[in-house]
Amino acid sequence: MQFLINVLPNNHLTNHKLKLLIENIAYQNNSNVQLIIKKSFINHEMIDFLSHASLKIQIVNHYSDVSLDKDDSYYWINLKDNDCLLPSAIDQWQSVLCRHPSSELWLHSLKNEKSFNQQMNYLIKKADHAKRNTIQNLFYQHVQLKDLSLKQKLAISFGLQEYNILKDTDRFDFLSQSADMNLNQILFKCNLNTLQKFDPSKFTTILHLMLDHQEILSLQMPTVAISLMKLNRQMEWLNQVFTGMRDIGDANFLGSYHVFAANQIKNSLLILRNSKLNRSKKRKILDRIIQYNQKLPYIFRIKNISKMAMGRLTRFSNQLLSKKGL
Amino acid sequence: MDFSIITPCKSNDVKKLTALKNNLDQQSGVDFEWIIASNKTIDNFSDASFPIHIVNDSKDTVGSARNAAILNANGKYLVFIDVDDFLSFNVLKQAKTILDQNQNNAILDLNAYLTYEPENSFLEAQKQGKHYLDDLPKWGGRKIERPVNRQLKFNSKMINDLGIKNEKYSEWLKHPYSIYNQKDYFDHMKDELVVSGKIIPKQLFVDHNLKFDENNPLHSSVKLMLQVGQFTSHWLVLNDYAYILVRHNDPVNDPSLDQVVRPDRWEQWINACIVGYQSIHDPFIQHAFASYTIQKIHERFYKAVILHDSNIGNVQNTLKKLQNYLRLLSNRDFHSINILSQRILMEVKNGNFARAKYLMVSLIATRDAHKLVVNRGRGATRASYELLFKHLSVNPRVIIYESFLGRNYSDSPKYIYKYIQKHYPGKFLNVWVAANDQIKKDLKNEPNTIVVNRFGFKYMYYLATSKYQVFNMRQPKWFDKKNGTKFIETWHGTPLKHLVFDMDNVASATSLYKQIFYHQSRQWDYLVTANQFSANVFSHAFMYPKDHMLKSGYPRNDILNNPNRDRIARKIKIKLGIPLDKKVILYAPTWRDDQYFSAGNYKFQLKLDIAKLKRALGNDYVMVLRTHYFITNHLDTSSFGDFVYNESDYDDIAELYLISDLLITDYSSVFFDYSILKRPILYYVYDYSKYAGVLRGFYLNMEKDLPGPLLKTSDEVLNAIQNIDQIKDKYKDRYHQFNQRFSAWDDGHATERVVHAMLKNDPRIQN
Repeated sequence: MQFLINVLPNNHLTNHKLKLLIENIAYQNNSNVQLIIKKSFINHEMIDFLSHASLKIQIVNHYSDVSLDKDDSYYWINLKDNDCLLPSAIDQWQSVLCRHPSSELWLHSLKNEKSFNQQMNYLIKKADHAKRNTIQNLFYQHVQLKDLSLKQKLAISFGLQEYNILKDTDRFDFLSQSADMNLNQILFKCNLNTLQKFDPSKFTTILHLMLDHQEILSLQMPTVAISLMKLNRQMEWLNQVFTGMRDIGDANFLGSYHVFAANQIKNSLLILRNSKLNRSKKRKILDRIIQYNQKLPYIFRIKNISKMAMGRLTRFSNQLLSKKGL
Repeated sequence: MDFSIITPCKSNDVKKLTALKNNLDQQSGVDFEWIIASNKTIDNFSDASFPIHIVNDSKDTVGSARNAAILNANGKYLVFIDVDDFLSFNVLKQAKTILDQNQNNAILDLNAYLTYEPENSFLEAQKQGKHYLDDLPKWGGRKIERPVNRQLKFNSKMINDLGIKNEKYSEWLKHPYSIYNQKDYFDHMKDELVVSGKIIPKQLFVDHNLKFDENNPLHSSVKLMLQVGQFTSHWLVLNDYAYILVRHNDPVNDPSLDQVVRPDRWEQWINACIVGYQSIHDPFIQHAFASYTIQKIHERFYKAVILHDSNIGNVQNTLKKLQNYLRLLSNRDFHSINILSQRILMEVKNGNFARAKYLMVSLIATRDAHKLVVNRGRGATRASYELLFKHLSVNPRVIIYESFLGRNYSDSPKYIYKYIQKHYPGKFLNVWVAANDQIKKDLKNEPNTIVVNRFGFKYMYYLATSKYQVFNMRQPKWFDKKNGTKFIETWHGTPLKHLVFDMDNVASATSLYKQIFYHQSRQWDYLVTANQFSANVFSHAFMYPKDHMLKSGYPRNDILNNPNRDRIARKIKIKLGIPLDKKVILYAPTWRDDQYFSAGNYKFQLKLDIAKLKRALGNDYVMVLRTHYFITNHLDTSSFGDFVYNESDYDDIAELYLISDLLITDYSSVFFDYSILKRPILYYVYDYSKYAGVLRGFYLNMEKDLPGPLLKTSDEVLNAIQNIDQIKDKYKDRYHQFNQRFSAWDDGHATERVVHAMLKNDPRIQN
C-alpha cells in the first residue's frame, strides 16, 4: 500500500515551505509514501533540491503522468504546502486501510490557526468517557488530562483513536455533518484509471468515488493539521463543490449535499470576512458567493449572507444591499 | 493452565461443536482447556491441540451444566462461550496480558458483537486466514445500538515510532481496553447479566462459593452475575469486539434459549429477579438491578399481559410472582418510570390485579396515541385495524386480492378474479389492493369491484372483514386471520433459488425473516403449486403441509394455453407498438442479492451488449426488456432507439411471454412459465460462478437441468440467436423432460381448480 501526497500550494510555494513539508513527511518514518508535485508549481532551484530529498518524489506535468505500479494499491491525499502530518499519521492510515480496505478515508484535522492545546482539550473531552477515564486512571492518576503537555495529549489521542465505517446513506449524512471538511482531509483510493479519467486534485473525483462505493471510513482523532485556504483557493474549492452538485442524481444524497455546500459557503464567508482585501474587492467575491448561495434550494440558503461576510453594516451599505434585494 | 473454556451443550447443538472447536484451534500462545458440559455422548476431538473434557450435569439446565463444568475446571480464569458463538482471533492471548496486568478479581468482558450471520465475512475470513481484516459480519442487535466506531490497533512498529516513554501505555495501546468501576458498569445494566463472553477468575467462584442458578432453565446467570458484581472492583471491557454472539435466524427449527416460546418465560424471568435481588447486599447494585428490571417491566411486560403473549401462560400466576418481587423493592426503585406505570406496579404490589390490568390498557393506549402524534399520524390506519376493524364481523361477500404488494393487476390473483367475475357475477364484492393508480385505471369500470390504497383505512377495513384473501406474496406480518376465513396464497413462481428454511442466511432481508415467514405461512389455508417439484420444495422450504397445497398449476399460466393465444398476442403487440413483422426477444434478468443501497432497495446494471445485438439483429428482431420489480432504478434504454421496448412496468408478464419468440434470462424463474410455450430459452449468466456459489443455492443443476444453453458473453448470446434453430434442435430432448417435470399441470384449467377449491363450501355458490 502506498500513499501519494499531492502538494497543492496555498499561495506561492517556497523552498522553505517545501523543505518543512518534506521533513514533516520524512519524520513519519514510513517508506510507503511518495510526494507528487506538479512542475508548474516549482522552479529549477526546487527541482534540484527535490532530487536530493530523502523522500520518493514524482514531479509531473499532468497527474495522468504519475507512475503507479499496477500490482500495488494507492491512496491519494491533497495537502497544502502549509499543512502537516501529525505523528504516526501514515501508520494510522495504513493500519485502518489494511484492516478495512475502503475507497475513501476521511480525516479529522487540527486547525493551524488555533491553539493545538485547546483543540486537543476539546477532542479529549468529547471522546468516549470510558476510554478517557481508563487512560486517566491507568497512566495519569495525579494530573488532569487538560494539564498535560501537547505531546502527551497527542499521545493520548492515539489511545482514543477510532475509525467509523459509514455505509449506504450514513455516508451522505456524514457529509452534511462535516462542516469543516475540505479537500485536504480526504484520502482516496486511486489507480491508473482514476488518474487518466479524473483530476485527483479536484473534489469531483472524491465525489465520484463516494457515489460509486457503498462505504467510506472516517478517523475520529486528528492525523493532519491543516491551514485555512487562501481566499482564491477557497473560491476554487467552492466552485468545485457546486460543480459536483450537478452530477448528483440520488435524492438522498442531494439533500445532505446541500447542507454540506451551505457549510462551505459559511466557511468561505468567514475567510472573506477575515481577509485583508478592500471593500470593493470583497464585494465582488461576495457577489460570487451569493450566486452560489442562490443555487441552493431556498431552505438551505444562508440568510444574512452579506452581514456574515462584511461584518457590521453601515446604514448606507444597508440601503445599497436592500436595493439589491439582499 | 491459564483458561478453562466452559461451554454448555444440549443434544441438539452437538453438531455445532465442530465449528467452535475449529475456532478455538486458532487461539495460540496460551494454555487452555475446553470443558463441554453435556448429557449427550460426544466423540472426542482427537486432533485438538488443547485438552477437551466432557462432563455430565445432573439437572439438564444451563446453570447445572456450567456448575458441573466449573467443578472440573483447572484454569486460573473461566471463559464462558456458548456453543454457537465464536472468539476473535488470538483474543485469549490478549486477554491473558490484560488480566495479568490488573487486579486479581477483575472481570474481562470480551465485548460481544451480535450477529445473525457469522457465515458472512467472519467465518469466511477465518477460513481464508485473513485475520487482519475487519471481519465483523452484519450487526444483529437493535439498530439504534449498531456500533459505528472501531478501535484502531497499534502494532509494535507504530509504538516504537511514536517514541512513547510510558511502557505501560505502549502495552495498553497494543491491546486497548476500558476500565469500569462498579458504578459505571452497572449504570447501564443489561449485558452485564449475561455470562457469555466474560472471563471471570476462578478464585472468585471458590472464595465466595458462586454458583449458577440450577433451578431456572432460562436465566441461570442473573444471580451469579449480580454476585460477581458485588465482589469485583473492576470490570475490564475490550475496546474492540472479540466475542461473536450468534443469534439464531431460524427460531422455528433452531431456537436459542431466548427464542424458545414458553408459557412460563416471564415467570422464570421474575423468578430470576427475585433470586437475584435477594442474593445481593450491596445497595448500589440492588438499586441498579431494581431500576433495570422495573424499566423492562415498564417497556415490555404490560403489552405482553394485554395481548396474551405466548410467553405468559397464566396471567394471574405471573402477576402473583411479580407482586412477590415488587414487595422486595423500595419506593425509590420505581422513580425511573412514569406515574401511570408506577400506579400499575403499586396495584400489582397490593394485589389489585384487575385494576392493574385496566391501567395497563390505558398506558398502552396512551403510548400508542403518543406514537401517532410523534409520527404525525403515520400508523393511524394500522391503529384503526388493531383497535376497531379486526373486532368487526366477517363479510362473507368480500374477496380481497393483492398482487405483488399492490404493484400490479396481474399474476394468478388477476386470473382468479376474472374467473370469479365471469362465473359468479354479482355474488362477491371484489376488493383490489393498489400501491399505485394504474390498478385503479385498469379496473375503473369493472362491476362489483373496488380498489383500495394499500395500508389505507379502506384497506384495513376490508382486510379485517374479508371472507377470502387471495395474495401472491406474503400478507402483512401483523395480519390477524379470523376463524372461518380463507387465505389463498398463490405464490409467484416455481422456486429456482433456495427459499426461507433452506437458506443459511439472506444478505439483504431482515434477520427475523424466517420467524416472520413461518408465522405468515401458518395463516395460509391453501398454497397453490405449479408442479410437483414446487410442492416438494415448498414442503421443506416453507415447512408447509402438503395436504394444504393445491396441486393445480398456476392460474396465471392458463393464458399460455389459451386456444386464441396468437390473436391475443397480436393485440398486445399492437397495443405496445411492436412491429408485427419482427420477431421479439424478451430479456428478463433478475436482481442480485448483493447489490443494494439499503435493505430491500436494490440496484442493477445492464451487462448485455444491447447495442451489439441491435447492430446484428435490428432488421429482424426487437427486444422487450423486463427487469425484476426489486430493481427500483429504472434503466434508461432510450439510446437503443426502436430496438428496445422497456416494459419493466408492464403489468402482466404472461402477456409479454405470449408476444415473444425467444426468452433471454438468467436466474429468474420466468423460464419455468415461459417453457409452457415451448419456445427457445437462452441463459445469459455472465456472473454465474460468483452468483451461484456465494449468494443463494439453487434447487436445480443449472448445467444439467435447464432447457437452454448457459451463455457467458454477449457474443455467445448473439451467436445463439443467429443459430436458434440449431439450439432448438440441440436442446429438444432436455426441453421435453423439462416440460414433463415443470409444466405437466398447466393445461389451461388451473384457475378453475383453484377457484373451486377456494369456494368449495361457500353457501353463495351452492345456492
